[in-house]
Amino acid sequence: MKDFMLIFQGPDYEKIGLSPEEVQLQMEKWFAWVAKLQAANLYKGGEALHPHGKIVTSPNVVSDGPFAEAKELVGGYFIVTAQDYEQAIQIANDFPDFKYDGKVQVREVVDFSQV
Amino acid sequence: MRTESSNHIVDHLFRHEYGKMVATLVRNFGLENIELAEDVVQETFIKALRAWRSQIPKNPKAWLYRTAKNHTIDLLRRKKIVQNYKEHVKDQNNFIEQVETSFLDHEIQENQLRLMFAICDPSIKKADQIALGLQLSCGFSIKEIGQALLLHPETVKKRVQRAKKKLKESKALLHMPKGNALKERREIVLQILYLIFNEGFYSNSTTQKIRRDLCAEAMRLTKLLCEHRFTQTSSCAALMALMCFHASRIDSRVNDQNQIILLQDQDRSKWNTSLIEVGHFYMDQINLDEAPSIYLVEAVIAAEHCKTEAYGSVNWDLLELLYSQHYTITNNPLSLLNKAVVLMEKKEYRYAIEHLQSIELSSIHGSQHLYYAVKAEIKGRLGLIEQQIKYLEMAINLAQNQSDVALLKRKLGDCSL
Repeated sequence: MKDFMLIFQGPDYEKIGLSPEEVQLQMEKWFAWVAKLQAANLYKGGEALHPHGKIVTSPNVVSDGPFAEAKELVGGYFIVTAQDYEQAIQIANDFPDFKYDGKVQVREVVDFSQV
Repeated sequence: MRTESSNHIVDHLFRHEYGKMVATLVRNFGLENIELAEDVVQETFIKALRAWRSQIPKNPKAWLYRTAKNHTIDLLRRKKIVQNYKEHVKDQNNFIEQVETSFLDHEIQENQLRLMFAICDPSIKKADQIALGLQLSCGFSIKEIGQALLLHPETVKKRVQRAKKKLKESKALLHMPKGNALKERREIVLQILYLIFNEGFYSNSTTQKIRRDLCAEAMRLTKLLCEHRFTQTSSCAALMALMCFHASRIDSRVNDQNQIILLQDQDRSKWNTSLIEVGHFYMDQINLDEAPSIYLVEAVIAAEHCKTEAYGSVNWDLLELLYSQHYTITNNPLSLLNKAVVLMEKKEYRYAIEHLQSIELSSIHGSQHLYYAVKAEIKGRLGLIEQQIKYLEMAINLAQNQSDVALLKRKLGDCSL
C-alpha cells in the first residue's frame, strides 16, 4: 500500500450561496465519505485550510493571499492509503464538491524508505 | 453510509439555527443591517462546512454560535456598524457584554420571537410577511420558498426584498412591542403561522417532504409563542392545538401517488395519536371565558374529526353549530359551504341547498370548484345522477389544482358506472 494525498481545489463556497439545507446536505456527504474511508481503513488524516493566508517570496518578503483564482484555491487535503493510482482515483470519485466545480489533485507521497 | 459515532448532525440543524442566529445578529446590528446579519450566518455555515469535514465538534450548535459571536464582536470592534447601533448601546466601551448577553440561550429564543414580531409589521403585506418569515425565521432559501408556495423564485425574491426594505427603513433595534402594539402584532404573527401551516397542509402539488417541513416550521414557532409569557394567549394555544390535530393526519391525507384521500376513506390507524394528545394538552390551556378565537372553533372541529373512530360516528349536530359560529366570526362564505356539507351528512338536503344558494359565487373565487363539487354530491345523494354529472363537470373545469382535478374525475368515473 502507498500513501496518496488528495488535494482539494475549490469550490468557492462564498460565491455559490448555499442554502442552510444545502450546507447540511453537503456536510453530510463529507461525513459519509470520511466514514466510508475509515471503515475500509484507508483514511490516514486530513485538514481544511482557511481561504486566506500569506505568501513568503524571500525572507521577510510577505504578501497576502488569495493566491490564485478562487476556484483554484486549495481548500484542504486528505492522506489516504491505496494500492495504486487506480484505487486512489476510485477514492477521489466520491469527492462531494464536484457538482460545485471543485476538483481533486491526486498525488503519491514519496516513501523514502523505498527509494 | 453513516456511522453511529460522531457523524450525525441533527436533522435541519442549519435551517433551524439559521433563524435564531440571524435574529441574534439583527439584535446586535439593528434591523437596518439585516443583510449583514444574514452574511455573517452564511459565512459561519461555510466555515463549519470546511472545519467539520473530517471531524464534527462535540457540540456543533455551540460551535456555530461561538463562531458567529466572535465574528460579531470583531465587526463591532472594527466600527463597521453604522452609528445607529452605538446610540443604543449604553456603555459604548463595553459592548462585548451586551453581545455576550444576546447570545445566552433564553435570549436567543427571545430574539427569534422579536424578529417574528418585527416581520409582522402591519405596514408589510401578508404575502411579503410570509415570504420573509419563511426566509428569516425558518431558514428557507428563495428557491425552497418558491417550491413550497408554488411561486416563481423571482416573485419570492421581490416579496422578500420588499419586506426587507420596509424593515430596514424602520431603522429600529429588535425589541418586543408593548401594549396595544403587542396585541396587534401578536394576532398577525398567529395569522402568518396559520397561513404557513395551511400552505403545508393543503397544498397538494408540492412534495410530501416540503409540505411536512412547512407544517413543522409553523408548529415549532407556534410552540415557542405558547411558551413565552407575552404571547401565551388562548388563541395561541388554540392554534397550536389545531395544528396538532391536523398534523396527526398529515400522512394519511394523500396516497403514494400524491392523490388526496378523503376524510371518510383515510386509514385512521395511521393517525398520530400522540400528536392528538398534545393537541388536547393545548386545548386545556385555553381560557373558555374569553370570546372563542377562530382557531378554537377550527380546533374543536378538527378534534371532533380526530376523536371519532369512524367517519359515520361524527357528531354532525356539533359540527353544524361550530360552522355557524365559524361563519359568525369570519363572515367567510367557505364556512357556509362546509356547513352545507354537514347538513348533507345529516340528510337535510333542502336546507343544505339553501345554504349553497346563499353563497355569492364571486365571493369564493378560487374555491368555486368546491361549491360545484358539494352541489354535485348533494344531487348524487338525491339520486339525480344527470345533475350530479353536470355539476361535477363544472367543478372539474374550475379546479386549478391537479390533485383536485384527479379527485373530481374519479368521482365522475364512479357516476357513469
